[in-house]
Amino acid sequence: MKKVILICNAGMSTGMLAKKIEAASNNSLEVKAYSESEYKDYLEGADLVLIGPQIRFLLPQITASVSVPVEAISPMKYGIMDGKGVYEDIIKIIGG
Amino acid sequence: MGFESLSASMDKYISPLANKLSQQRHLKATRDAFMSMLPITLFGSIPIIINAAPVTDDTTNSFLLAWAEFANNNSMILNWLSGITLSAMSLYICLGVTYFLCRHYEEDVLRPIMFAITGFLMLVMKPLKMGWDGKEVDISFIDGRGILMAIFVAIVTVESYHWMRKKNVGRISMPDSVPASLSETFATLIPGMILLSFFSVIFIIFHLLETTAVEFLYKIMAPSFSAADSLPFTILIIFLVHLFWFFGIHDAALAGILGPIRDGNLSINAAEKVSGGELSHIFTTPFWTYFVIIGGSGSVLALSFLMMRSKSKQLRTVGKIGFLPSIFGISEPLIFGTPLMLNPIFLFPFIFTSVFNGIVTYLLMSWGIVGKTFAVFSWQMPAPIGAFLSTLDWRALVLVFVLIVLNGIIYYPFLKIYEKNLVTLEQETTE
Repeated sequence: MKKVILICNAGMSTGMLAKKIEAASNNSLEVKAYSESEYKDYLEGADLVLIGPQIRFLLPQITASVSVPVEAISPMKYGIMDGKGVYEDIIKIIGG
Repeated sequence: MGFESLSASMDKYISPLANKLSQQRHLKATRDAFMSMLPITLFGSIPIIINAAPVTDDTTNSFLLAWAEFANNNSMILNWLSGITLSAMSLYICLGVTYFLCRHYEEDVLRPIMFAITGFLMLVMKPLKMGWDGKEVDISFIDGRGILMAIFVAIVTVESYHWMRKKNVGRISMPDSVPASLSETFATLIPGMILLSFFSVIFIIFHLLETTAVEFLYKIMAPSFSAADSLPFTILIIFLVHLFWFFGIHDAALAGILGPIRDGNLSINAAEKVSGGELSHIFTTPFWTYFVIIGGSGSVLALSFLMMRSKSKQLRTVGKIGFLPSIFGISEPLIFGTPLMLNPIFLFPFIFTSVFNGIVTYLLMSWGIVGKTFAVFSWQMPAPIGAFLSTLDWRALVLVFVLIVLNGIIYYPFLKIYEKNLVTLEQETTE
């Protein structure tokens, strides 16, 4: 099972999205949301890091501190909590 | 397109600024420390509320009278519970900032925390009487007034500790056969002695001047604290936070600066409430979360309600998804889904609805029509409940409901314009 980490400021709204992505993946993905101050403790085994659009300005720093791909979630998909859409984006990056 | 190029160039300046502010290690550690402190402030708010039975001389309600009697009989216990939690905020801030700054440097955490707490107590407590006949100490500055000292001590401790360790200042190396933890203790012996001596010297100097470092700092800073509790400052901050959000950027970038002001003011109000005095501050954390941003940044609760019954399918969908989170103060679905961010139609209401809430609430509180805040719960507490509990004033509850209606009225015309555009677009695509 591949592991995806979502990062936002407090892990609140990303937490909602994480559940929807997991559901859209038929539980083939493990998706966890963490706040920006604690994500470093949970990187082990992660295949992809996605960051919430509200902290997209941190993309360079986070990319530098992580060895796996890092992407910002599209604001629109984030806004309508489009778990399926984000899941499809994830597949495009790390494959099924 | 004038707006697009304007917003693109603004985004070009705002993103790097947000990046700088949120990556600055001291601001970041301060922000994280304030965020971590929630259980303590929340716990400390409960005894203050219990202690503040809303009775007047002509109260006849037997429940309220029993409540007041209970509070009266147990006031020492209640005061102590809040005094050591919410009203000792600086102590926990000192601990938190030290912890997060150590994490930033990937430095050992325990010893810097010990040194910082020692330094903090040294500079914040005032010995009134010393000797074998017992010790009397004034600890009152561990409330919001000690926050700057707490942050100062934490930063000085971690920065100089980290520097000394990096430069191997005073490092006593032990043979390999000595257990690692013991050899680490020896390695930090001299840095620790230097830090504690430094704080001791500061204590002695101020003690000889018959004051304490924290009192001195607070007196210097007091004018800027009261400036930070004014209406213009309130408006400016609400404006800035929403300008950030209009570009879809989280206000955490500013939280490192706002935390000490908002929570510090609250802690001072709490201490005043406990001692039975007049509350002096308006710009507090509950003021912000329960009165200014009702439904999350942008005060979108009313908007999401209106959107749920929109003619546009897109708006209806986002409204339905966003309504429940918005009740709990989470507005990201609305901001990104509508979208409100970078949407010229919503530029005005997005920023000025919250500014409006801030002005109305500030004025009503300063005129004494609505009670000021003295307790806080998490920011996810729905605004009306939070507003009532943090003031114990039923008029605060009324105010929040009135503001929600007014927010809806402010958003409504702009929503209608946007809706019209979307409905036309949606019809074109289905035809």
